[in-house]
Amino acid sequence: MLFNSIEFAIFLPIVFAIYWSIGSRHVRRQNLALLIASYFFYGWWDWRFLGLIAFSTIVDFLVGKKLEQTTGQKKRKTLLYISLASNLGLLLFFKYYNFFIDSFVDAFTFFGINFSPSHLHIVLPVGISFYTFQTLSYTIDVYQKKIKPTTDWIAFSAFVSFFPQLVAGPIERAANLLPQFQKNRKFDTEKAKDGLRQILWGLFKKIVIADTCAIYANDIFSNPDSYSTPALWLGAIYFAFQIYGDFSGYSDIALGLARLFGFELMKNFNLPYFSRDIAEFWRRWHISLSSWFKDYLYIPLGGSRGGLKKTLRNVLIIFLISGLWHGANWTFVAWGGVHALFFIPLLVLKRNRKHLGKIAEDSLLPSLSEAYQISLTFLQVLIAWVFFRAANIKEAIHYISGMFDMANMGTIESYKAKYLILILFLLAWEWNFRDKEHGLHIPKWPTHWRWLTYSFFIWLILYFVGEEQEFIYFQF
Amino acid sequence: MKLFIFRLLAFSCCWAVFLAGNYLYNLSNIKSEEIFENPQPSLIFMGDSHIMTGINPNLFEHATNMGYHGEPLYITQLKAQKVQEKSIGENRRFVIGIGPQNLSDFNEEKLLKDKYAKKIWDTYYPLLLPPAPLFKKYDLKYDKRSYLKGMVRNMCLYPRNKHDRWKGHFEARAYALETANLQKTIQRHFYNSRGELRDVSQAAIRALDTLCYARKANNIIFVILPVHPAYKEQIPQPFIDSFQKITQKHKKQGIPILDYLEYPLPDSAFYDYDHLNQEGARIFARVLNADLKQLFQQ
Repeated sequence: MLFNSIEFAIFLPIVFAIYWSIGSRHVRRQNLALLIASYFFYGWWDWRFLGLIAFSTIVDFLVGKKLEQTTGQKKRKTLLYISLASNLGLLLFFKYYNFFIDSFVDAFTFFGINFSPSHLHIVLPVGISFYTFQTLSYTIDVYQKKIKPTTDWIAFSAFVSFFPQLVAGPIERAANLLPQFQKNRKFDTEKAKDGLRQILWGLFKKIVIADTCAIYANDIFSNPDSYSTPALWLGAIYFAFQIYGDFSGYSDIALGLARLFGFELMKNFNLPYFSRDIAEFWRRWHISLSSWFKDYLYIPLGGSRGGLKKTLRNVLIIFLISGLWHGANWTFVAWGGVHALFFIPLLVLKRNRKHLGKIAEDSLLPSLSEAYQISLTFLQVLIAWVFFRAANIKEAIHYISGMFDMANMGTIESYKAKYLILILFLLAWEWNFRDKEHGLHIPKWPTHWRWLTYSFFIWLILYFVGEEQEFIYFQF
Repeated sequence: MKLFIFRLLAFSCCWAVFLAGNYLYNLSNIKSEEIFENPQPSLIFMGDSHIMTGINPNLFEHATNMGYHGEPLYITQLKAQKVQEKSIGENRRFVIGIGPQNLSDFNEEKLLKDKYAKKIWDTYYPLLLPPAPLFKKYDLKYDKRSYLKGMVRNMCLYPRNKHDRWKGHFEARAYALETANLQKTIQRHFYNSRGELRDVSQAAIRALDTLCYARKANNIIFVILPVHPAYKEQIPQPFIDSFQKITQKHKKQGIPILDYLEYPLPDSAFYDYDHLNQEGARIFARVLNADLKQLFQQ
């Protein structure tokens, strides 16, 4: 079920009504209602894969409980490995099996050994990368004794399958979300209102920005040879905003939905295209994933302790694996690699934590140097996005070389460039709301202005609504 | 909670009133809108982009061109019906452009794929207002969500005084044969995405039958516009056969059919392999004018 579908527009009020009619004193019943709703939500897409979520839930719930009872380090490690093997095993099989087979074949062919192993026709379960990482974080935290395991299987199952963030994050930590399933949740009007505003903002980013940019991004990326250099830049810009609108829009909807049910999820995007360098970009883009990798991979690998060489190695590993996490294709690995190339100089020069403060604090516009830094960072991100979008690395390099082909300075058809105005509108609006929780965080505006603003965005959504397009990150 | 629900309902009601108000305003405009400005045309050309680019109405006496990009025959029939309903007492002749590509079931698929369906709803919504009788009449499957969104977008979002895109127009095109992709056009017209030959559209056949049935009240003439010989050669034989069979059937029923499919024209007369350009429309107007005059004298 897609958030931008008619089915969901029916599903949500029903679940909302049932959930709050149960009453905040009956937490277990509320959790059960959420659990059933979440399984229904996921099963609407393909009920066969409900078994995978259930399996992941049972394994981590039991491992968590067993870890509490076990004191021996060896046994505890074995339990952790059981969880890692189960979750990562599922992920590797469903997402990467054919990719690894192909890569092995390519590698062997390179050395002159030809063989043709059989491929499996595997359907990738939606959101598998998200919920496996979420359950893994629980087990690892319990193993590291950062949190106590839960004994409430309904709360734990609801935590794993919580429908607002089940299929595309944010990847929540048990320490943040699980306690929220265990305490009373009272209906908070202000919270619910702001949740609805954030849902509206997310729908605007998805339907008006992402789906509109997708039309021309797809058009240009599918046939780059027939476009001029400026048009190729335009295609890359459209894709940059397609993926931003798509994913951050989804995250906004997820956060807003969670608030409707009395939950607070972590912020997943914080205006990444206003970053002043790549390091800051990664503190603002898909925050839940980058912090996951930092906590559960980078730090266990040694982090920045152990000299520059080891730090560089760890950074490179993180970027490449986070690229691979996105999909079973070398283009994603290359995307991670390109980001690492942009990031490593900052690390070497110890400038990776230079921009921790707010952008243009206390001023209306960015300073000249900030504007330059933001533009340069966006340029780097744009080039990396080409690898992310292209079907293979050869195509990506071909596209990028086209972007710098000065002999092909033709024009852009005006109808293709007209949606740049939407992008400029988004940027201007986000800039204006850069200190707020989200783009429609306007609780203090007078009612008539608020209603007019909501109406303006609803109008835009209805005007631009087209085919219900899946969220790009569902495939990851 | 009660206040939250109350405010949400109040806001939704305001929106419902806004949408309904726009719908009613637009509906009344559509119903009262005149199709033609004076002087009223007596010769009306209808069809898809072949008519739209190939017939310059200024080169005919009291004529108008209502052709439009990718217009399926079932829409053309609906258009003719609407004009006819508004033309009581007027002496009008309808010249309908047909060709083998109109028989492809690609035209039925247009209602199912949002990419094409969106264009259909945005152009022809005044002809397809709910409950959309067209679809039942021709047993057409359509994307209901896309249809609903199209109706909301065009009828409910703002008051419009003009709803005339469906009327079509003449579009003068320049020579672009050199950059045209013949294979792509043939693929799109006659083959599906898997490369298989498409079926003949039953809706198109029924639309032609309905148009001919309406001849009792109007003069209907079918015209088959010239295409480039390279395009003609690549039309799959089953479509040529079906097209001939259908045109023969209507000829027997007394419908005049002017066939210029293989009419010799220089390359410079074409926009691409299946559309005439401005120059082609000029040359072709002379030929068609003469033949129409002869036909009307009979």
